[in-house]
Amino acid sequence: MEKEFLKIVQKNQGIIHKVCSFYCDSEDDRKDLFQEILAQLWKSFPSFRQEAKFSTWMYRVALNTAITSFKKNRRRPDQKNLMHANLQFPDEAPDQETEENIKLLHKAISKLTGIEKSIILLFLENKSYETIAEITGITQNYVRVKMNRIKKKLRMYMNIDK
Amino acid sequence: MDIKDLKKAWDRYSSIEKRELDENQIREVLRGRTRSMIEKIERNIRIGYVIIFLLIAFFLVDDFLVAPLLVDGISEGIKIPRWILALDVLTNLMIVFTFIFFVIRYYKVKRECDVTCKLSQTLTKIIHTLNIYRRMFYLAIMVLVVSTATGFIAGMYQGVIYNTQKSGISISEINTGNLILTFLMGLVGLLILTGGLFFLFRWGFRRLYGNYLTKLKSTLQELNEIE
Repeated sequence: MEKEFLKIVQKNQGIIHKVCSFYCDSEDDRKDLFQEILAQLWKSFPSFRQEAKFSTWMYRVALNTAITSFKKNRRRPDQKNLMHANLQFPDEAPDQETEENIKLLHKAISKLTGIEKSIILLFLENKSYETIAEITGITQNYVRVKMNRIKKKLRMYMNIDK
Repeated sequence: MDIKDLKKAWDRYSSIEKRELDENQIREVLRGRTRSMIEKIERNIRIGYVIIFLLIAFFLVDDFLVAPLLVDGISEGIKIPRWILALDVLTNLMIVFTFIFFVIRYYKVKRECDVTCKLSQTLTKIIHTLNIYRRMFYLAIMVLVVSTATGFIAGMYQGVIYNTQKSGISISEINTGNLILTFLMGLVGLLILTGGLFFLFRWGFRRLYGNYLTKLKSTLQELNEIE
């Protein structure tokens, strides 16, 4: 079972990385959350039923873990600067405008609530309202309503920050 | 910047943000993990229940076996009055039932859904677990206080009876004011001890988990507004 689990997680690990980068500001927090999500996935793996898609199930466990995670109070030098410093672009650097937009995106997202973050992440990942509703456990109608509110909020934050 | 630009920025970020771990590295991360906060709390609850169970057992043995033997050994003829024994039985029963109630409640919460279920269920489970953890400490304080209080009443009663018999006087000859003063001093001491323990624990709990509990409750509230 472990082999099967490792294989399937290795294939879908991008989901965990994305959730971590959405919910954490510092590298230490990301590592902690990554480990916690992985542990929860492993713990819940025996109860995973094949009727749902693995990625859907993985998103649910990862987002639930991220939203309910307990953050230790670490003393950090400067949260905002650290957050931006972590946005490294290793191989091919994006143009300046995209880089600015990515920073702006992270800054705006950090102001959203846990549930809002999960909805916008799934939206950015091109998930349908039906899938978003399935993962978050809220109704499709409300996903739509909430999505509109989040868009408004993001527009406001981004305009203010600009 | 519009939502379209935002989506574009995210797509770009996702395409360059690649931190791939191989199977061995993932295994290493899993093996190197420490218990999560909730797992630690669940373990502490189980340990706490064992400690409370031992405390209750100790006080029951003390009340019904050790104390009567000691009283008999110190002064023949003096028996612990029935009303004190009844008070003991009542308080001990109350503690035992509260304990059983908490254990049942804990295992009921433990069976509730975990991270694989709806977020609202996950949140409810964690909030319930934290509340049980907090109440467990109150239960431990209650066990200590009730046992100390009944012990104090029984001890005081026996002390007065023993001393009056030894001195060859009757209780009515003792200054009532002194009796009341002794009783009140004991009561104040007990209240300070209980209050101190209660506030110390409440402060510690709020300091450790206060913000976390508030965050969970507000998230659950946000979800409830949705439903």
